Amino acid sequence: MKTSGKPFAIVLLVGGIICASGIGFFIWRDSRSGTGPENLTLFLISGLAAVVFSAAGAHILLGFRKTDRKDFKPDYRHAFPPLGLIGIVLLAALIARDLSVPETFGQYGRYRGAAIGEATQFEIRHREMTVCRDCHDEIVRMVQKDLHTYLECFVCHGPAGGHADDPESVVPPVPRSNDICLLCHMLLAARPGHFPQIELDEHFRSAGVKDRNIRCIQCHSPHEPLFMDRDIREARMHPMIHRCRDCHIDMTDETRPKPSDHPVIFECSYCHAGTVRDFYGRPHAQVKCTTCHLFTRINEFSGRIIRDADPRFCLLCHRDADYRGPESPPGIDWPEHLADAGADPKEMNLKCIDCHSDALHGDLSDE
Amino acid sequence: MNFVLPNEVNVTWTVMIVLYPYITGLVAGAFIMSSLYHVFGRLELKSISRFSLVSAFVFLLFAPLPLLIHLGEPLRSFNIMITPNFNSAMAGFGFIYSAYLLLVILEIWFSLRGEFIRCARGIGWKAGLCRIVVMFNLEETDAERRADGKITRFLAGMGIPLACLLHGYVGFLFGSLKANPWWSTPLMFVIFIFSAIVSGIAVLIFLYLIVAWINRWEIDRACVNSMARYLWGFMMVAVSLELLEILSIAYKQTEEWEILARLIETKLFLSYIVLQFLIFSLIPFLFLGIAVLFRLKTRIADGLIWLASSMLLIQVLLMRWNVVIGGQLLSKSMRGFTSYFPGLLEREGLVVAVVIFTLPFGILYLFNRIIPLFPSHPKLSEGDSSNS
Repeated sequence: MKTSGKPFAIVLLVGGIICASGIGFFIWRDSRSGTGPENLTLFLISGLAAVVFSAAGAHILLGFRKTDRKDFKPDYRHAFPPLGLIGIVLLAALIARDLSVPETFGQYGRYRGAAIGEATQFEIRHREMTVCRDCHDEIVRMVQKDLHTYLECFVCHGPAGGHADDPESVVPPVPRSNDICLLCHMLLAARPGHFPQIELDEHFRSAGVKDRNIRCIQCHSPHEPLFMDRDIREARMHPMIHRCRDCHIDMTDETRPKPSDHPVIFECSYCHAGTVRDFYGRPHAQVKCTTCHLFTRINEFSGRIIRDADPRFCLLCHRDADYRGPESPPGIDWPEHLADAGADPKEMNLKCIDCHSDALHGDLSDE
Repeated sequence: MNFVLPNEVNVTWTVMIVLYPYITGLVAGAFIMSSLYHVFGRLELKSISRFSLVSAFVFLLFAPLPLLIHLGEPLRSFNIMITPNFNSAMAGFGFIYSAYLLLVILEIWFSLRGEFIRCARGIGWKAGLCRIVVMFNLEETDAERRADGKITRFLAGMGIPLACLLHGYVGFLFGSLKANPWWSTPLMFVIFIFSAIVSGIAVLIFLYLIVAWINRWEIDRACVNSMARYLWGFMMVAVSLELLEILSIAYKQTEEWEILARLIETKLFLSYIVLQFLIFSLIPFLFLGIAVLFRLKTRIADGLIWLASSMLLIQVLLMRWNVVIGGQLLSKSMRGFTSYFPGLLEREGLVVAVVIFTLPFGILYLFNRIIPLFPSHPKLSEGDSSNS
């Protein structure tokens, strides 16, 4: 009995190792395929057999060692309870894993495959602009020609899915506070430099605003924030015009002169030398070209440029209003200014530059 | 010279990620010290072998806490275990950490089983707790004790490569990030392992001497001297490796040196050059050298060793800071830097970091209430007290 016990114990131990290897193989295979165990029963039996075989083999082997030899040898039997406990915990963990990992996990990748089907069943809450257009065509056209052209209506007005189905009882919110504008346009170091951002105090100072309680929408219409007189999507392409913030995260003052050792960058005067020279002698000399020639970056190298000649755009700086202080640019009452200037009431489509082009720069046609 | 890409302005790996390798390093270092006694037969370290093993255990318990606080959603942490992704270096932490924790628990169980049984034979909550720990088996024979010794030795031996793996893996995480020139070096995980050993030995000396002074114990000179020698040796290797690593980049004058030199000269000048090397490496090096090479009065030698250990604890923390935060300060554009300093009360702020780092010491104290970590330490006699 004693002589035949050792080989039997070794066989049991080898069986335990094979079963443990089987579990390892299952885990490896499952992790590669990303699926759960294909055969749970086999998986659990392997685990259980690995623990039982190993424990039994070790018990027999160590028991024989103890009885075979006459000299004083270590007794390992007290180690079986904790090791068995660990085996049970591991087995329980494997069962828990099998129960907790969703069946379709790994079907397409490292996520639950069924999640895709479930996502398609959600009720659609966000409605695209095409739905809004059915009733609000004029506003949608206004939005699409201006700088908010890439925004969907729900960005400001919420999902409003119910509104399209029942316009009377479900009314989408109309946010009027500055907070929602600043959510996108507040100056943040982490925002790309080409994205329009303001530092509120500086913006008010440059526009001569004294009343800090003024709301953004008192000057800018959310539907056409810069009152473009043409569609931005049809504006002509122009080589990249850099802003300071493209490279310098903390440089918000675009009018600040460049240091003498600044690397050479593309400047307006390279192509429009005569115009730029002429411009420096005019009242708007302190204004950057891109303040009126709005440049919208499209890619790394170019963007669309539009010279905004809509009077409402000029009025962003020149409208006479209570909230402006004494340091603001010269202001006018609109549209009374037309009548005051003796313009023909029929010519209400007159643009500011029709009369005030000399305040800007000369004719560009010679360039 | 400050071109920072928008997604690099905010440092995302905060002080919690500094703390994580730091605590992990303490684990690895403390465990290796205990193995020096259990495996390599350094008998002079017997006084601190139990303490170092339990220290490794309590630090190990809290090693993932900074990660959990940083990531949030702690319930999701089990996902790396139940849906393992062997292509992910991060997933390695789950397996290595679990295996290591299991091993340390087993080693404590086998090495302290006699103590647990003695405690379990008493009455009170400690006895009840110990009865559960020994699974209600209160018998202990010489044969079992011998088996415990063998198993402990085996586990301690197995634990050394696991300790190196656990901490080497943390270094590997940084060293394998090829996009970051401050991290991407094959030496990173070696540096991490050696600095881990330094911090582990340092924290053991730091605590041992404090506990001995407070309790007016007779300090085990052979043990402290041996630890000081190990600390001196390992800190020399660790600091030399760090210097050699940076020196090799500087000498090669590769393109990344342009930005790394500026990083060191500007953003990391104080924490890297001044604090990490000039103050918290050079001074402990001298202190330990004096304590090891010269015959000093015991009180002076202990003071120097304790001071050096305390400074090396800070040095390793600074090293973690300079690696983790320093690597995030430089932009991928190689033309600019961002800035970072943790807030005081925020979720990943300094107060939380201090609390996390303090918790293991509290658990260590509680453990000591149940099983003495420094058994049979003789008190100083009056004469010794006046002499020292």
